[in-house]
Amino acid sequence: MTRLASLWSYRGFILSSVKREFQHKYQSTLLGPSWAVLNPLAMILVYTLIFSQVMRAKLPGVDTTFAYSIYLCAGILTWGLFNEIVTRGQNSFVENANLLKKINFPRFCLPTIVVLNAVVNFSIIFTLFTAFLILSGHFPGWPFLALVPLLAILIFFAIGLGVTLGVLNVFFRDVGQFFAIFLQFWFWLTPIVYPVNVLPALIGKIVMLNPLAPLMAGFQDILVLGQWPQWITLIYPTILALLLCVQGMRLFRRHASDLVDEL
Amino acid sequence: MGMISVSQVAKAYKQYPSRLARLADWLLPSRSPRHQLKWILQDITFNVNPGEALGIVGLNGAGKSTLLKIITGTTRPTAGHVHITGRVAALLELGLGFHPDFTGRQNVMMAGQLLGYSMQDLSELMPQIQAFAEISEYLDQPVRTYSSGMQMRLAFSLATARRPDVLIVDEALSVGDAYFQHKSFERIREFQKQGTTLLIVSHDKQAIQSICDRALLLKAGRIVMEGAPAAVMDYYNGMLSEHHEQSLRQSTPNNGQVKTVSGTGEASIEEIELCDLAGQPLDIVFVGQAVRARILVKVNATIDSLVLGFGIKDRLGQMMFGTNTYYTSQVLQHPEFGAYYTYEVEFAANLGVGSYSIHTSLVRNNSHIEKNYQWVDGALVFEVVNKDKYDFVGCSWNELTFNIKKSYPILAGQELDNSLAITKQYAPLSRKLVVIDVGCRWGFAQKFIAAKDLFQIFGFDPDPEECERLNKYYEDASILLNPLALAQTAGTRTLFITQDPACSSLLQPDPNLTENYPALACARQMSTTEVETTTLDIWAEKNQVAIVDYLKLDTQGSELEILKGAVDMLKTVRCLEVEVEFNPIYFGQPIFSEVDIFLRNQGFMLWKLSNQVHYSPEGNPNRPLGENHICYDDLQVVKHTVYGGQIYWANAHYVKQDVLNTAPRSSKESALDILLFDTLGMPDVVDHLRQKTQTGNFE
Repeated sequence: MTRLASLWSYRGFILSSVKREFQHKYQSTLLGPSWAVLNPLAMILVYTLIFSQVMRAKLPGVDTTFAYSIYLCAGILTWGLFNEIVTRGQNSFVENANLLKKINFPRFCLPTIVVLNAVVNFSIIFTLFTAFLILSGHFPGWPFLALVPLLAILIFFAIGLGVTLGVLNVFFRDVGQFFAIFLQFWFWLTPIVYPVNVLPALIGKIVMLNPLAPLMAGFQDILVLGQWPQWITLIYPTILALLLCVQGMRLFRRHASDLVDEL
Repeated sequence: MGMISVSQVAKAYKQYPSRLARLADWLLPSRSPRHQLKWILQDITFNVNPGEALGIVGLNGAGKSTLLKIITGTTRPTAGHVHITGRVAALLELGLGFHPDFTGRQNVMMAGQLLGYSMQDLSELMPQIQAFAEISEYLDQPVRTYSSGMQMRLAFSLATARRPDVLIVDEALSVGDAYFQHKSFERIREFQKQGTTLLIVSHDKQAIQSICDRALLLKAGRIVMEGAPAAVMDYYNGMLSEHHEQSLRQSTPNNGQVKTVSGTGEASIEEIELCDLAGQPLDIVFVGQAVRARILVKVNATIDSLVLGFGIKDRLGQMMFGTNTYYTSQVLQHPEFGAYYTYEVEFAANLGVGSYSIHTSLVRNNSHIEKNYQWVDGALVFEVVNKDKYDFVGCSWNELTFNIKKSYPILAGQELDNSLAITKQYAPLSRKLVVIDVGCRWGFAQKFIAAKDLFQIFGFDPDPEECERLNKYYEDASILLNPLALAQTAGTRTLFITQDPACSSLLQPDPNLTENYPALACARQMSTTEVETTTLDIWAEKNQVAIVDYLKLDTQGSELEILKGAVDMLKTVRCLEVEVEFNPIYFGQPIFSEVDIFLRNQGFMLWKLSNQVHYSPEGNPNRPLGENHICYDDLQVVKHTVYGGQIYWANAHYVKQDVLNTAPRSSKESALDILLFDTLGMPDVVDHLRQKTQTGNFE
């Protein structure tokens, strides 16, 4: 609680950091924030072309022009949010060594800034995506609301992981390197680009052990099929997300005192 | 209030033999840790009381910076605790963790919030921070373009934008030029006076000795000495050369000043004495007196060279001056073993009043680091008193002379620069602007004085004494006063001298008004005198003043007469300010409407009225009529509160119709007009002129 209170008293710093970072990212670009949109858009375009047109992949059971694109978006956009929080989170202490060594402030400001930044970027693109859904007549209706708890689980999962990795990365820089590679595998081991049922049954079961798989399935159910997610499958990622958060906090608390010495 | 209490603080870093050992330490539970503790600080206990200044000195690696980090809370101690009260500002290791890609302003906003300022505070403090850091246009450049000095200046001025209760400074001040060091020390001293508690880490002796009340010497993570800054610094200096088997001892001789002796002892000082040039020993020296120090040195071993260092230190241990025989090329080569040498040092005691000590050193070469035979601080103490010089403060005597001359401040300097910059877009100034002020008693408007290089000013007042006074006051070829009374024609007239000389007039004051209206008592008639009058046109012809740009008249009723005697001059006048009456105070005084008709016929049009004054017989009524009298004056909106009563007078400002007509004028003329109206504080006219004139088409 005291930690939350101290975060609140530094809200000015946190908010302006988020703003600065956003500005800084697009400061010397001509197109500005449109790059935040163009990047995933290009990715979606590439995947849509290769998988749905060239490789003639069709989603079993759904047969509209945009179905595969929407399927891709449901996974890639949310994965993007997860990816940004984790990768930025694991570097947040290392990157801000300069600041940490010179000013005494609640260290938790740094992951908070990371999360807020990622959420801002995500909101921009997801708003556009939602607009597309509405315009193309694919808006899922009420199940859309289920995105809120799903995104919350995803974000908590990412924060827990990001802080854990962030602390570890200060002491073992290998962590950052390793995780960059690991994320590549993780992406392809999550049913984002392909539907899980194209896999052989056994492998499909193994893939569903991946905590992100049920989450992604949830997003896809909502956005592609317009169905409520299967709540029961979400218990597993939720518990894991909470565990990671607790673990991340414990790790942080235990090593906070050595953190600055190591930087 | 700010106070720091550090008790039993210790800090250790974990040292692992390898990265893997750390990993094992983390992952595998085990009784015996796989790391060793490296103690950086041990058993540090001290207090800094509110308002006190503590200096921390020590060699590199002694743990000073770590200690400061623990005190400011960026690092946690392994044992012990630190307690600080009050608002803390800390400058650790130069800078405040500025982000290189953000601008100075953005960094100030971000780091400022971390220092506990609110956004609003920062916006308010920004101009002050910018000004103190003296980085002006760089504020909006990314910090990566800054020099380290600039970063430090910005950090310092941000951290000290408000007076903190506790100020912690780590070496920060050693970066940057001497000028900024002075400036920042000035600010630190100022804070100290107002009660800020200071904690300073520095290698800089001067800084420690001149600011701190107390100093701590850290060595290998422990406090080895705590005491008066001068004594600690002497010990520290001794320590610097301690890498041979040297003895280092301090004793407190009878006079209370600490004497420190260190060195390897190959040569030693046997006697030291201060005397006047006649050889009489002294312990009191007069300011500026020529004195001689006699130092007897014994050579105790076979050495190849011997250098004597000599200096005078003040009560705080700051070196006033000092040099050695190496620098004066008087090194003794191969001094004889067992022999004595006498050094006589002659110098003038150009010192401030106070207590001083002589510092001597016997070394091999130019510094004591290499080989230190003997080092004595406080070998001899003497008092300096002021016998025959004027009183002065400070620690050195320097005969100075004051030359005092009356000058006037360049008040409107900045604005003037702006006007000139605007003006020069149009054309180079072809001549000085000519200004005439009739009724100039008490002097001219500051705006003209500030720009006197650009203006030729002529003043008129019938009182020769006042003219002489003003001529003397301004003492400038650009400002000429003429002790002339002006009217419509040349001749002899009666001047009515009034209670206040400034109200004197060629017209007789109306006693009905001056007796019954207390505010008009200044115009009460006291006496009369005959004066010779002339006209502006006659004067201009005689003095070959062909062009007049601006005319200001305030002559208590005779303004219209004077204008009528200046019909030729009015042809060139571009702007005119005239005091006009709406109800006569003097008999036969022309009122506003008459002046207005006359001026319109000369091609002028009324631009604005300012300074409307109302009078009432009740005298100084305190019932305001409202604040609806708004006019533009001197570039800002002025609201006159108008008090009850009848309107008597105001200043009417006229602009020549030519200036405003639609036909484009030459850029040379426009440049002059723009400068004139800008100086007069009429930005609306300036805007009009700028719209009309293209920039850059120099003729």
